[in-house]
Amino acid sequence: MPGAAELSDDIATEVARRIANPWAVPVKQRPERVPAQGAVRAVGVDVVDVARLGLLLTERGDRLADRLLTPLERALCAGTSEGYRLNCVAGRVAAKEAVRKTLTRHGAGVGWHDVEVDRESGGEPLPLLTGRALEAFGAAGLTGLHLSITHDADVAVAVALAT
Amino acid sequence: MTGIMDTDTGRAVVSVMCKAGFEESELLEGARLSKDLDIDSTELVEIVVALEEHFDIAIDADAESAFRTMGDLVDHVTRLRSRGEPVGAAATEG
Repeated sequence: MPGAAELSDDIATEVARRIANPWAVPVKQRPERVPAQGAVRAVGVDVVDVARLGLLLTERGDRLADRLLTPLERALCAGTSEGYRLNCVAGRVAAKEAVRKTLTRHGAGVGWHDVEVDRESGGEPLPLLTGRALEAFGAAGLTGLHLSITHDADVAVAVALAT
Repeated sequence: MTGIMDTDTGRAVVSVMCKAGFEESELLEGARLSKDLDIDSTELVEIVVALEEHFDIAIDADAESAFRTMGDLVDHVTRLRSRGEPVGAAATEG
């Protein structure tokens, strides 16, 4: 019986393998991972302590704000309410970090201004990539980016999904 | 052999970082900003701005994102100071 002979060979091979290394776990062959079209390929999340950021901005002033935000973002976050301004800046800082995380290893070297967070007419945040962020986005094979920002209990949280 | 941390600039960088809440004993040349000192990106930008103000220099975004260790920070500040980099000359991003 050829079938039985083949089975015996397989068993013999397995017994020999286990004797050689009883702790070795056979690795199953995994199918090649090809993300489905439109599937989420990367997730980034970041949280910013609003009070701490406010302290830093008070200490360092415009120099720090200019470093973190683009002129468009500074204009978006201008307002008469200190609370609104701080939450807006904190949300954008968190969003930039969240987006940067979706770029995985390709995101090294992405600067603060390479990710700009604009606002759509409905109020939802709109991520705009330029420079190294745009290059990293392409290198990572990403085609879409979705962003959400929320504020609660003195923190700003941002989640970015890349497809 | 004198290390980069034993220079005037090295000591001044350490002093600036101590004012930001770090312990002098942990600010060694090879200390990794993220893994050893637990500095996140927001803290790094705070440190960079503090160094700019202290030394009257401008550290550009490319340099900021390339800093990995304390030695990198001190080395970059040392080079900028030796050039006499004017304030704001390299403050461009994006």
